[in-house]
Order: sequence, then structure tokens, then C-alpha cells
Amino acid sequence: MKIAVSSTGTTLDSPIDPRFGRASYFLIVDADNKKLIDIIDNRPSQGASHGAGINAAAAVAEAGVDVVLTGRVGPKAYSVLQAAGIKVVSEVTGTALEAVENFVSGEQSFSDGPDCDAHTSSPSPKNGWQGKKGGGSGKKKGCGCGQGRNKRGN
Amino acid sequence: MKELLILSGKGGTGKTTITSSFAYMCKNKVIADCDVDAADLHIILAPEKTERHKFVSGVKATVQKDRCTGCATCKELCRYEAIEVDETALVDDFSCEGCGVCAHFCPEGAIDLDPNHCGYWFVSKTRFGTLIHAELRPGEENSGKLVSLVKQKAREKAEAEGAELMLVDGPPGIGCPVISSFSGANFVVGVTEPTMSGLHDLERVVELSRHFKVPIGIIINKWDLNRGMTSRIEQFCLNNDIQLLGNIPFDREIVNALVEGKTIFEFKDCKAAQSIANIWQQIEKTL
Amino acid sequence: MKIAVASGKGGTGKTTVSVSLSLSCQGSVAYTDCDVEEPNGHIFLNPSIDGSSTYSMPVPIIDEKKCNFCGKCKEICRFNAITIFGKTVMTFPDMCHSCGGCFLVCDNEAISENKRDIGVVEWGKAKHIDFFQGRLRVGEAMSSPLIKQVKKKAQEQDYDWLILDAPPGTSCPVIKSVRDSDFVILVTEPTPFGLHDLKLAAATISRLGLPMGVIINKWGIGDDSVKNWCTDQGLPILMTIPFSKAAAEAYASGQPLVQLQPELRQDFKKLAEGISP
Repeated sequence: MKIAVSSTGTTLDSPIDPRFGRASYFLIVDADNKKLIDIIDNRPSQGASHGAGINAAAAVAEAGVDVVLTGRVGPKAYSVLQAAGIKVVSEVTGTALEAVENFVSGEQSFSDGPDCDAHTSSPSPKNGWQGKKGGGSGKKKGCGCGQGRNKRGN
Repeated sequence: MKELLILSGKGGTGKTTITSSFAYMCKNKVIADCDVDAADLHIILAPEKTERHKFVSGVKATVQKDRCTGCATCKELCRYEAIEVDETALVDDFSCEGCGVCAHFCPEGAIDLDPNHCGYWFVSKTRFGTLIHAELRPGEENSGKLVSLVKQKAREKAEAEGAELMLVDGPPGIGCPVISSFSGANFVVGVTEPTMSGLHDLERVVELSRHFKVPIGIIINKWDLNRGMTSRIEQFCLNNDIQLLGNIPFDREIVNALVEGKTIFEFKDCKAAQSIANIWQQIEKTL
Repeated sequence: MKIAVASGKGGTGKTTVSVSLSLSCQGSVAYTDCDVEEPNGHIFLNPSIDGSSTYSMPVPIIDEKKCNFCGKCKEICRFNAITIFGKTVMTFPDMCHSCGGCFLVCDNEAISENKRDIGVVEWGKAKHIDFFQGRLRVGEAMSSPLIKQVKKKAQEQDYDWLILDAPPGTSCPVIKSVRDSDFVILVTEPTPFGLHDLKLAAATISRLGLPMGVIINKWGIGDDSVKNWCTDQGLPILMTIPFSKAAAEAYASGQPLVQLQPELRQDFKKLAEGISP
């Protein structure tokens, strides 16, 4: 099983980056031996005005991971991860290695929805928002410029 | 650290005046001016800029005249009617959305996409503490991104300084910048005035705060200018279970203080000043 | 004659001036509320709404059966409204700016047009005035295209006076509202905030190369700095509207200023005629 961890650095002892879309790096880790397989440099996305989460999610999907360990995931990124069949564990803290170890030992449960509104860093209650493959975000309040969009439970 | 967001919906309700008074009352905080389209807080806070950073967002198309043959492919494809062709093509900066379609399809490769410099953001010292603020160039959009940036920088400063509070002067309206300003807020203060449009716009701000599940308290500024409408707003708050933080009477001293570049507390003890002081106590209790 | 009424700062009296001008001008008059985020003119004019149309923008919908996942549409989209991973394509209609790039680059005719509603354009009558307004769908951020539609609707007919009530600020929607007008009236108040925002607004309008003049509302509060600045800049002060509690109360209850003070009708009429070429 492959795990992507959002991280502030390029080694397994780097702290988790709490932001998913605007994380500095994604560390791709093999869950079986806890070895670092690959590093995705996500820094170019940090300065993007829109859609950082979408791009980050597509990048980890391309890397073929099964699970994402991170702080918070916005609704758009979540819908992409869901469409790609990737499970999400959010509110993860500590170092990347600690996160992987905790996950492997089964101490964390999967998220059932996005953790925050797009482009914000405030946690918001999970109110049953569901990403839809190919449907993007048709039922949310749409912003167009991708800044701090809210979602409407559907 | 707590984040206090001050919003009004409608412009001209006194949001910035009230924010600056809070800046005077409250100790150990960082101030963020997110009203980036027409920022006014600096007029009272008289900031001394210590850092200035360019804010770049998106791109704009520029035609290289020497390579352009005037074929008008770009004009035909541009959905924003941003391109006119005379002998060569000319891009209207105000209409260009930076989509890049023209550059992609130009047979001569004569169109460049240059980073769009939209404005600046600053870190400043003021007599009330650190202020993070920004300036958007006229005609620019995309202030939602700048709002997020200002808040993020303010948060970093607040953490570095060990501040207990972040005081955020929010943007007007209910659009994208306002939605961005909600991120991380613990409490919203809605400043309104007793007018039809004040009530109308307040309803939309309340709707947003509900949506984001951030508690909101209301201040009715210049309440005595229309007592009937003030009662209606109070009733609205009561019906919707919204905390009424207090009312501020119309007081010319507020404008006089503004003319001097002072907060009302630095200017004169008056009725309005007392009301604001009482409201601040309410907010402190709530926080 | 197209007159746009704008201001850097909100709450200075744009709507008061636009409504008063509309009620005072002689001949055929249209009032157009371009503040699609917070349209307030209707509160004062109380028009009948006789018609409306929903305005939407084209957004892509992708047929995965025809798609070969080449990634060209994702590549051209600068707004990240399309993403592709493996054999999955996703579109995000609310990120789309309707540039049309994806339709053009697709070699497989896999992309067709869907619609995203932006808001509504409404029209009607308030006595002799033709009334137009746009209302942006709550949560929608693309106000500029809707403003364009409202103006287009209002300009289907020729009017002696077309009054455009612009949104506050100096950003893109303001430019869209004022840019093809014959004259811009900037409404401000005599305070440091009013002055600061007037400077920004005047800089914006002069970048557009449009003639402009200033109305100072709430005259009597604050100081003379706005007046002095206008004089220094050679910006004509078209009118000063004295501050009065009565005027503030009339505004609060949705009464047009020229209804409270009918003698001002003459002043507004003269003002409009004075700025006509």
C-alpha cells in the first residue's frame, strides 16, 4: 500500500504540512516497510491563485497512492481524491514517519468529507458534502476565483 | 489566539471607525486590514511601513507588435472582447482575464503572457501594534486571494509576537473577499446602520456567518437616525437568536476625530465613545 | 447621454445621487443598477418588475467516452477548472471563467457546453423611468459578465439619459460599469476616508480617460480637505449636498432625496444638462 503524506520537508522526520493543497511536499511512503519511495515537490502550487487543492489531489492520484495523510482537505481536493478512490486521514500531526506509524497501527480513522472550505484553513463540520465524479462542485456556492469557497450540503 | 472579524455588508456603516476604536481598546494583538479594495484603516492608524511586497496574481496578455501580422485570430477567439486589431492587435488590460487562449492560438507566437502585478502588501508598525495591510491597483480583481494572504501573514506575525488576538477589518459586500476573510475567524462583529439597505445587507452577512458556523454579534451604528428601523433590526436579531452587542448613537465627534486622524478615545470622551467602550467589554466577555 | 455614478468608498450616496438624477432629468430616462452584489436602487424607486432573464455562462462538460485523456484541455485552462488523472476527467464549473479554450483544443469533440447561472437581469418601470438591475446569484463571484448584460439590456433602446449606478470601489466591476459612459460623477463625503477613496476612484477614471466631476455629499461634517483637493486637481465640484438628519432619515426609510427636498430637482436637472456636451 502506498501512502502520501503532506510534509513541510523532504525527509520522513519532517513535520506534517497541515495544508493539503498548499503543502510543500508530498512524501510517498510504502506502508509495508515505511520507506520513502518518492517525493512530489508541490511548492509551485503554493503560489497558485486557484485550484491548488485540485492539482495536488491529481498529482497524488497520478502517483497511484491509496491513502493520504494530512491536516485539512478542502472540498474540491476531496472530491478529486474520492473520484480517484483515495482514502483520506485528516487532522494528522507530528512528523511524517509518526503519521505513517500511527496509521499503520490503525490508530486513525478515515475522513468522510472535506475538513475545511476551499482555500481556508478553518476546520468546518463535515456536513455530508459529497464529491461527485465528473461533477466537480455543481451544487456548491461557486466563486470562480477559487478563494475560500463555502459549500452547501447536498 | 482568537480572531475577531469585523464586517458590514454595506459600505459606509462605520466599520473601519469601529475597528480602529477596538484597536485602541485591545492590548496584545495584530491588526489585519482586509478591506483591500479601498483600504482606509491606515488613515487612523498612521502605519510606518517596515516591509513592502509585490502581489502578483495571474497573467495578462501582451502583443509583440513586431511579430504581429494583424490576422485577428486572437480577436475572434477572445470571449472577453479584450482585443482590438488595427494594423496589429492591441490588448485592453482592463478586459483581459488572462486566460491565455490568444497566446495559445496566435499563429505567429506574438502574444506573451506576463505575470500580472496587482498590488502590494505591507507589514507596518502602528501606535496600536503591528498592522498587515495591502493595496490593490485600480481595476484589479482577485482580492480574495489578497485577503487570504493578508490574513495568513497576520497570523504568522501574531504567532511570532505571541499575540492573543487578531483584529481583522473585513471587506465590504458578501462576495469572494468576504468569504475568504471568514477563514479562521472565532467571532464576527456585524456593523450595520438603521437603513433599509443596512438591514438587507446585514441579513446576507448573517447568512454567511451561519453558513460558516462562526458566531456573530451585531452593532447598530448611528442607531438614533431611524429609531423605527433600529427596532426592526433589533427584532431581526431577537428572532434569529443573534447577540446584539450594542448601539452607537450618531455623534459628530466621530467624524471630528477622524479628521484629526484619531480614534474617538484619543479625541474626546463622548456618548459614542462610551457606547463603543461598552460594546468592547461585551466582546471581550464573549471571546 | 450616459452618466455613470461611482465612488471609491461605499455608503457615500451613489444611489441617492443616481436616483435623484433619474427623477430629475427631463425626457426619456433609464436608471440602471450595476451594483449586482447589493442592488439598492429599487428600494428608492420602487419599480414594477415587468420582465427578467437568467444569465448563464458556458462551462465545459466532458464526455469520457470520447475523451482520450490527452490533457490538452487541462493544460490550456489557467483557472484549474479541469483536472485529469489516469482515465478520469473532472470539471469544476465554479472555477471556470468561460474562456472557451478547452473547446478549441479538444481534438476529439469530447467537450460540449454546459451552463452555469450567474444571476438575473430584471427590468421594469418606476413612473416615467425605465428601470434595470442585475442580481448576482448569492455565492457567485463573476459579477463583471452580469454587469455587461444589464448594460446591454438597458441599451437596447436609446434614452436621453442613461444613469448607471456603479458598485463601490475601484475594482474590475466598477470599470465594467463606467467605462463606456460619457461622464462619470464621483460621489464622496468630506472626511479623510472620503478623500482617500476619492483619490483612488479619480485615478481609476482618469486611467480610463473619461471626463468626471465630484458631488460632495454630507457637506458640513468633516473638513474642507476634499474640496481643496478637488480645486488643486482641477476636478469640478458639481454639487454639495448638505448633511441633515432629515436627509439621513429619508434615506433610511427608502425615500428619494428629491422627494424630501423637491427644490433639489432643479439643481440635479441643471447639473445633468451642464455636463452634457
